[in-house]
Amino acid sequence: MRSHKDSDAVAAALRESPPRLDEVAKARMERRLLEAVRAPAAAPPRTRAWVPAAGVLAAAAAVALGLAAWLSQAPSERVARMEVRTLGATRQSGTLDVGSSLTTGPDEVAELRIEDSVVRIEPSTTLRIEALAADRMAFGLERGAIRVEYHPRARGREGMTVRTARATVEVVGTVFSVRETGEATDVAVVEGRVRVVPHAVGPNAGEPRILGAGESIRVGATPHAAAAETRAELVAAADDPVNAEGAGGDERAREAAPHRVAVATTEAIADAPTERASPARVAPAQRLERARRALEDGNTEAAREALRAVLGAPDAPPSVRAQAFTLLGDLAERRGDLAGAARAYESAAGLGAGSMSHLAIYALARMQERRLRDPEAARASYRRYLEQSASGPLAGPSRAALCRLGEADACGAEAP
Amino acid sequence: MRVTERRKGVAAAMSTGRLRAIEGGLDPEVERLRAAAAGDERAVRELYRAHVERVHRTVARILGPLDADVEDVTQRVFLAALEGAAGFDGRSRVSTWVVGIATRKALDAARARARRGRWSKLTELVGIGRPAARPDARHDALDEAAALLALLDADQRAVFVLKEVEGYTLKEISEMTGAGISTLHARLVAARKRIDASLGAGGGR
Repeated sequence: MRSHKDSDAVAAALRESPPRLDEVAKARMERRLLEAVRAPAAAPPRTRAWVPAAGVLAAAAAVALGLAAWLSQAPSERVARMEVRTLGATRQSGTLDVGSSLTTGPDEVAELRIEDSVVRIEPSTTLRIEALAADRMAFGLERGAIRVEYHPRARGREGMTVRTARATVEVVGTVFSVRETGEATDVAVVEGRVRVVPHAVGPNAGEPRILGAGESIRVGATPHAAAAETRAELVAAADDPVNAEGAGGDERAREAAPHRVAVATTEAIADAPTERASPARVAPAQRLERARRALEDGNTEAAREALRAVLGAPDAPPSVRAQAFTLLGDLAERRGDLAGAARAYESAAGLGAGSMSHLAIYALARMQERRLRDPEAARASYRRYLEQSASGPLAGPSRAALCRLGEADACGAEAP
Repeated sequence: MRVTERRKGVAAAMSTGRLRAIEGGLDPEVERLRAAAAGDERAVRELYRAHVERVHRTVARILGPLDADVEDVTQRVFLAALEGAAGFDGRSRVSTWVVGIATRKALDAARARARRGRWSKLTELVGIGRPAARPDARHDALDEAAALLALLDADQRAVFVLKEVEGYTLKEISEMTGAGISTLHARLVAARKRIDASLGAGGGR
């Protein structure tokens, strides 16, 4: 038999480099296929075909028009636009719909965009899309970490939830992160408010908690782990006698709870029974809470005044002062005074107030990255956060940011 | 990065399908095809996702990977599969059957394009059209192997791709395309000769 070395080599070359089908085209075809399958209910079977039998030129025009129409019209069934970046800056993009899950590798980060909302997915994360309806979006975080920027168009009528093995995070409109470590779920709120509902049963089940900006929570799996988490949070708030006392007072109840909730927040301060603390000690915290409520009501002047009062109080503990500075930084950032915001964040960071100062560092880094567009400064601030809080609730987003800003080492880095 | 689809549903369907197959019932692939043809959207998605890469690869190799019709033909393959599911006799695997549809659809498109090419030449001749590009001119933008593939006519290209690149047997290709085995063999020999001659004449191009 005659040898065909050349044609064999051609066949081998073709096998090695198959035509690529990118994710966008794949998703586009799937969508159009489903539309065509649904079509017979409203039209005779012949209309199923996309290409009319009026000639190839007409077909090309129809395809072009169909594609343009598809691109321009609002989708009848929402999909999440996906973009995946790897260490080598390779990109993949496409769409995902309900029921799909996305797993990032150790050197990958991904981003999902659903209209105005963004879900940033860190390395080694598995996220499932459970609902993408206009009034309800839902995700299941199996492992890893995500950061969510949820901006509903009709606040109050739209909601988002992120469910992990231990808790459900219900969102109204905010920026927050969720990390599922396998032993606990960490939630940190950057903007807005979320409601965290621990998944527990029985009389000792963890209570739902509302978290505001600057607050974080850990929902643990076992009493032992929870006790350790609580202690860790107490260390972070050690310079805050009110917070320490309030947390300590709940210790027995926490021991019995099947799902542990440890909070390092002003909510904890506000929730602490007032009779356990003298009025002088709780006053700055109450003023801080008042400022927070004023902010939520949109009364920025009252908020600013309350925050200044906090900072003017000689008995205000560093953690409360750090939160006040951070909120002032947020206010300044909102009105475009970026230099003022940076000074406020720096003041909070310089107080050495544990998690509250760490949060200010993160807020500074975020502003440097997004508002000031200063990647060098942002990288330095994210690194600073990680140096001070390598396993903090915003460590994952910080590593993801460093990866995004070109620090290759951060792309595959796991939390210690 | 890994994207999975409705794992639970797929797993459940597959598990049910396997059970029935063991009991002498339908193959799960066939069940999925029938469910998709009956309008089960989940089955449509599964069918599509299971075969789209293969279908796209086949169509793109026959038409040329940058051809504007590749995506449309790929879509039509799945519609044809859904409409023709009742006629699937189960003698071959569903994947082979779907690739057969892809091959026929791609060849239809290639022949239509050849007719369009002749029409373009005519309009060019009488001065009312623009110079027509060679039907597979876009192949040139790709690598040498793809360019050599473009030298073949559509029938030769199809048999060369299915036999030499995708690894199907001539018998399978015969079932896919409806052409006799001897015809296919002749086309394959002609395709190889043409490629070998092109490389020999061009010194490896």
